[in-house]
Amino acid sequence: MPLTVAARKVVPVVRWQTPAELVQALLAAEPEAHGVLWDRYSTSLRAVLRRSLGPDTEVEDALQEVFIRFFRALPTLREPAALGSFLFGIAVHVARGLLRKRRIRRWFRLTDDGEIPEPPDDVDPVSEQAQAAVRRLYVILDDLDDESRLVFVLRHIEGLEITELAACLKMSPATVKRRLARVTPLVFARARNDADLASFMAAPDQGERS
Amino acid sequence: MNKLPDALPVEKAAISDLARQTLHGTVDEATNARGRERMISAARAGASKSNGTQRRRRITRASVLLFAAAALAVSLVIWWPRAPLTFVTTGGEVTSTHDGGVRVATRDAESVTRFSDGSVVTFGVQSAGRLEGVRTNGARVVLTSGELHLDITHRKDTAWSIEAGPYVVRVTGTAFDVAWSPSEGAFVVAMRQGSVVVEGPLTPAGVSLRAGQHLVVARDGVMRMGEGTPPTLAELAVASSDAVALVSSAAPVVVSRAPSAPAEAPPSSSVPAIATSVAPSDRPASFAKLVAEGRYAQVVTAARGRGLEWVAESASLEELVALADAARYEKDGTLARAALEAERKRFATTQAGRNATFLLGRLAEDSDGNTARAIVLYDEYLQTGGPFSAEALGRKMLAVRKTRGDAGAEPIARAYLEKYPKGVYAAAARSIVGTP
Repeated sequence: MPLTVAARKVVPVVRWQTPAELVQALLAAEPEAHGVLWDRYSTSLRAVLRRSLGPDTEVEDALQEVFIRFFRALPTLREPAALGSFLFGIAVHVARGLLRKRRIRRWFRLTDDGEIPEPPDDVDPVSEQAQAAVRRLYVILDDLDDESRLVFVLRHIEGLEITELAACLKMSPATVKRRLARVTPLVFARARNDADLASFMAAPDQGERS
Repeated sequence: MNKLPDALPVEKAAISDLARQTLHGTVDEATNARGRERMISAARAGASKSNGTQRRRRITRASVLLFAAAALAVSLVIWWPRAPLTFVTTGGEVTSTHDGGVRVATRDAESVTRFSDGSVVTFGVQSAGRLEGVRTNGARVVLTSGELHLDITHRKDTAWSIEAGPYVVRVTGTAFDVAWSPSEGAFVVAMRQGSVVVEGPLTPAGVSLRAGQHLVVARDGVMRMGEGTPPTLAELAVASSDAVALVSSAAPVVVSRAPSAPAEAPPSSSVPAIATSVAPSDRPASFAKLVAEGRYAQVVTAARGRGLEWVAESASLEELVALADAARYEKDGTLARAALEAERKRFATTQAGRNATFLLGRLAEDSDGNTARAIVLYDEYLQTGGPFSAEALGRKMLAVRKTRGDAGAEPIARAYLEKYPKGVYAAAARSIVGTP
């Protein structure tokens, strides 16, 4: 699972180093446990939400929703050691719900909040071209059904394994493979034909790859 | 890492990495701090909030279930098939009929039938009749002869039918008296409360009677509507229609005459003709009013002025019913036929439209001598039924006898005797069947 501990910690807490210990602290209502949870997982979860929903989506409310659902489900958590995966699954579930709502709003020609979205003002000129390319990629992803979109994002952007992806989306591995086999060539074929994306498709910068 | 079924081109990693790097999870310090505090606040309030939420959900779920149960109960009450009315008859000679009804005959004392909905039907002395077709919302009461007093409890769907010879009284909840003398052809309906609609040979479309009014058909076939105390059958048996008017304590408000004994049409010069300039909105009321007053010729004249096309295409049902009556009484077969055909065609689902089929049969038989056509129309009318069912069956029997002899008419005669053993065509039916 790609969730990692966030590098920045608002409160330096050295207790509850393992996920299981943190879960125990949360169940015991330790005063600082909630802050630790946020510090360790909020960045990764925010990233998952942004990658699932796209570059122009405000995800802070969605992130809060992930934690609210987590606290609601905490007493039923069977494997405290799998806290990261548990949170990741909730985030994907929240993202899926938001994608569905967004699709319904689109049917009625509404934006998420009923307003026409303005492009962000704080665009970094250096990465403007890269951000434009990513936006173009998500324009392509917007044409996919929600399941195919999530399969593509979680596999190609989040880098999940097939088995992790299957567990997260509650699909069989075979189904995940079939979906990937269908959606991957579709997305990249369109990306290659897109003016903003073509340069990123044709000459990958190996140095930027992690 | 599992291998994908298709090999991924190298360039795919470039855009994937680009998206991963662009869409990172870090935010500025302030945003992160706000989110952190918000989450912690939510978490600390979480237990009670969660419990409250669950409680609210339970309450909501229980409310929904309660509402659904209540809705189901209401639906059951509304839609559950109600049992037919029950009744108890006291007094008189009472015999059961095959369909769950009773035959009632009285001599020196009344017979009272009380229904489970509170309705009371009383056969007067020296009376006879039947209670048939008892349903959830009413019954069919047939007065063979004598007097009937009814107190019908009004409900939303109350539907009683009182039949006396060729007359049918439609009831939705009221108190009134009916008297019928088959030998004299005299008929009386006297209202005490509410209102009824009386259908009969003179009024196939029905005449409404309100509380305090009465309708009388004397032995000479003249129909009168009046107010006050109505005449009795005994008075009608010896009185002409003119005498009836004197017997009745109030002046008659409507006078009409049965087709079998047409009233003398008033000389056309004695009343103003209906001008073609009469406002269209006045025409329906004018036609019905004039027919009620016996001014048939004026109605026919006015309709002729409008033309047969107007009759066929534009005239209202009320106008057509009045016009058909007026034309028949005036023996204007063409106009009567046109009005009846229009009723049948344009108002087929109404009782008036169905009655038009029967009346067209009579016209075909009586005016045109087209017996075959009459049989077809009687048959058609009998399929839906109505206040002229007995007459239609009797007329069909005689028409078939005319074309195919007694042997051909025998099945119809038997059917007639079974249904209307004391009907006006019973004697003819017996002669066809060969029984005394």
